[in-house]
Amino acid sequence: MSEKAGHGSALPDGTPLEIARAVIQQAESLGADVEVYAELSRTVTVKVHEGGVESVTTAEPRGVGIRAVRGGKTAYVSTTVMEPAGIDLGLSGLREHLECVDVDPHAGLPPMEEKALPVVDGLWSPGVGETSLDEKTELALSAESTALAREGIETVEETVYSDEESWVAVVSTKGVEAEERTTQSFVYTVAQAAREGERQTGLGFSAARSPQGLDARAAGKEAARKALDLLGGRPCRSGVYTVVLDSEVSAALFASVVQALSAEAVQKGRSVFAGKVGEMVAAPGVTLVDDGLHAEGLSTRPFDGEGVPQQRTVLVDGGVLSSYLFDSRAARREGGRTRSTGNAVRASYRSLPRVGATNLVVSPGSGSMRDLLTRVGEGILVEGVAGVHAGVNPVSGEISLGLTGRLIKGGSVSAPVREVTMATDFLSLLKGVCEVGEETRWVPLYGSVCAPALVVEGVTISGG
Amino acid sequence: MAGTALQRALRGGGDIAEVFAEERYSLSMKLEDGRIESSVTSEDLGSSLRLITGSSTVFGYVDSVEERALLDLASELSGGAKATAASKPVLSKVQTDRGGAVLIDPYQVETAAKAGLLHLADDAARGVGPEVRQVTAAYGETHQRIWVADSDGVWASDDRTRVMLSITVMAERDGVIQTGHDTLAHHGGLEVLEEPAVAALAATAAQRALTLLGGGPAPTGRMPVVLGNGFGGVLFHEACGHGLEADYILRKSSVWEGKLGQTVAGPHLFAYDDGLSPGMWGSAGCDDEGNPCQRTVLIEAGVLAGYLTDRLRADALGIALTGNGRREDYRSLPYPRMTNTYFGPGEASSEELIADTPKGFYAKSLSGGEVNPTTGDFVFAVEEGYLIEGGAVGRPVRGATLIGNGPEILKRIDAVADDLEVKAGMCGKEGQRVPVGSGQPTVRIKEITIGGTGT
Repeated sequence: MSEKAGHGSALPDGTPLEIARAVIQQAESLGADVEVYAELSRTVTVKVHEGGVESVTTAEPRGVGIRAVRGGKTAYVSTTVMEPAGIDLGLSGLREHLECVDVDPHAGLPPMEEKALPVVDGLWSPGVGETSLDEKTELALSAESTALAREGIETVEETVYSDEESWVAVVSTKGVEAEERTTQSFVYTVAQAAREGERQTGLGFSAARSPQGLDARAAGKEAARKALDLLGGRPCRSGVYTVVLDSEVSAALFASVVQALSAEAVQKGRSVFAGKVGEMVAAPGVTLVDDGLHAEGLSTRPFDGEGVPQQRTVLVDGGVLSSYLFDSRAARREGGRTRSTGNAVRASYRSLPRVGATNLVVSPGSGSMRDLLTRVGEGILVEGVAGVHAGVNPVSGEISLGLTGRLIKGGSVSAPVREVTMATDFLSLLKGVCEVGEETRWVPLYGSVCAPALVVEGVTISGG
Repeated sequence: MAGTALQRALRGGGDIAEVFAEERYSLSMKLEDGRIESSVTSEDLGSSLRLITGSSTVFGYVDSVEERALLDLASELSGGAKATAASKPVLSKVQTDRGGAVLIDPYQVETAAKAGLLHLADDAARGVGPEVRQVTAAYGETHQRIWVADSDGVWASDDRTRVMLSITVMAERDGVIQTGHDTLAHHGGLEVLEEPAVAALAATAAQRALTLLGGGPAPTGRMPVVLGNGFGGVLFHEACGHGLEADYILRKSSVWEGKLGQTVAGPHLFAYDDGLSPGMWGSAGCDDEGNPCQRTVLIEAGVLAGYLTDRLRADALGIALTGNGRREDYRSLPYPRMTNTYFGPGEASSEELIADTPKGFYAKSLSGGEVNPTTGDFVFAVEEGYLIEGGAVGRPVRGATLIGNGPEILKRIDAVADDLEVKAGMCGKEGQRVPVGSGQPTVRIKEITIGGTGT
């Protein structure tokens, strides 16, 4: 990417590592511990509609974020203006803010790790850069036409191909120096099924490290199937049900639960899992791992947002809570031998790192979807949830969501349901898991989660 | 400079070229555990270029507003072609007012004073009761200047200052944890965050958490619901507003497509998108395509009266341009987005409305929601709710989701009170977040499904 700096005559050439080192030097005058996160990326997004290109976006966004800690006070500035004058302006702001924020005895930057960063292969694929725009467009068109080919699909509402090549570095005055390039690409499509004036939609997706890893036709088929499955849905009777959550829904719910497994949330009294390490918090069939090094996970990196090595951390082991997620600050606050688990996550160079999951992996059990349905006999197969961002309270642990899915009758799926809600809470949900499916799927919609289908007892359904 | 870039962008052909440039400074500070843990500032400077040919758009951006970077981008987007001689457009300035007056410019106020507001909020919340265990308070300010020019001659700029203070209070009693949240925000300066207002906001959030500690589980099933004013406006935003955004109409993925002029609600119902009211969170001088913001009537006496358009969709549908082309920043394509939406006020008081409801649910405050515009099916989360028994507000109940279908629910709104209030929120669409106001007077829905765990 450095050779393609043609856009930015004002921007420094060089790798993120070189840029970060230069900024560290410039920041010396702050008299603070300083960490610089520099990011150069390249991104392409193609939207297609009705067989044609609706829009193409290409860009090479770049920026730096500077975290300064002095006397227990933390201030952060980010800028897209990467020339020395822009950095200077940012630093002068930092100087003022370092006076105004409060002292946090646990604030600080992580020290350089003694052991080398893990080596993870396959994070960067040449396919993203080498594949032409036409071929990328073709992937999106293929997802669209596959969905449209299915009888009953009237329209495909939107289809998007997108990829990103991201090159980031973290450098600090505490000796941290890390740099990594990664690629990602995905395609998704939303199909619309119509029958007798009723319309329903379904989402299909595929994500990989390169366009060559995508299955656009499978995304198209998935979208069509999901939309058709929902036609004719009606509310079901209110009551307490045994439900089967498909892997996409179980991914959504585990991504919600993990917010309360952040050590920061626990330390600040914002978690229902506080004080429960070593206790049964879930059914024995539930094992949950945050795996920052998983070969298939799209959040896999050698290091986290503050340069600490990512790792595999078992959170729930056979139903027993075994660990929380830590960044360096939460680890320091714990004292003793507690160390960061490499879970300082950054959305981009514009934000401070915060504690979050990398790749969340729910261990599979035994039993195909058919087995699970047979064992449930009567219940609901939940295939979609709505309102996750507002309907889950990560502090109280309460969950109340809209759902779509199908009734289970005599061990088989039957009529679709919609306009009903399901309500439970984190602990009831985890303890109510009575079967875990054997097939898992990577779901890139709520972070990076790999989950099987689950059978959960005792879920309150509100409908007609 | 913009004119030259537009000319260059068009030299390979194309109908319209547009340059959008932005300079933004933002500051946020967060307090938790009684401490201001950090400050985060960001400086964004960049520009983007959009080239529209028929129904196809090519878009790119650079993290720079310098002429050379923009001209390079124009060359790249035009495919480097030199065949067509495009003329340099004649730009004429669009005159607009600002989205809100700035009486106390936050940029001129020292950071320590803003830090003081967060401590004040913390103290006020903790003073409400010993059950308050944690207070998270956030201060945010944004100064955004945008410039837009297009090859049809539009030339506009806008200057937007927004400040926000939000607070979440966590309370605990006997192992039960509940939270209460509230936000004060506007398009304008620090004058909105006077000390008494900040203290009152914190106390409201804390009181909400304490109230819910004593609450039972929310009911399940269908019943009449009275939706409180202010944040209750999430109802219109989700149940109707998104489906009136013209990109959904154009691609036939809105349940409201083809319904202009039809009766969609009772004659007592009026709804607006208002990007013009000074000081409202979602207001601005012009939209992010340089078109003046306006007040658009969406529902007039129960009849669907309009859609929300940006330039692309207004042209494609052959309907009026409403100045709703918004984008998160220079890195994003504009889409039709709501500004501030609300139901117009009626004549009854909210007390009368509740007194007229023998048995039901009072959703005093909502926290957010989601809609599928194609089906109109929506959900929204109730933060603070009460049972209504014998026409009076009864015991509090904990969070629950309300679920329904937009067109059906709109028809079931049978009473509208006089207490219109518009609150601030962030709305996500196409991966972009923009500030929107949502509001309403207290309204009653004859029947809607509540997703609790009780009976």
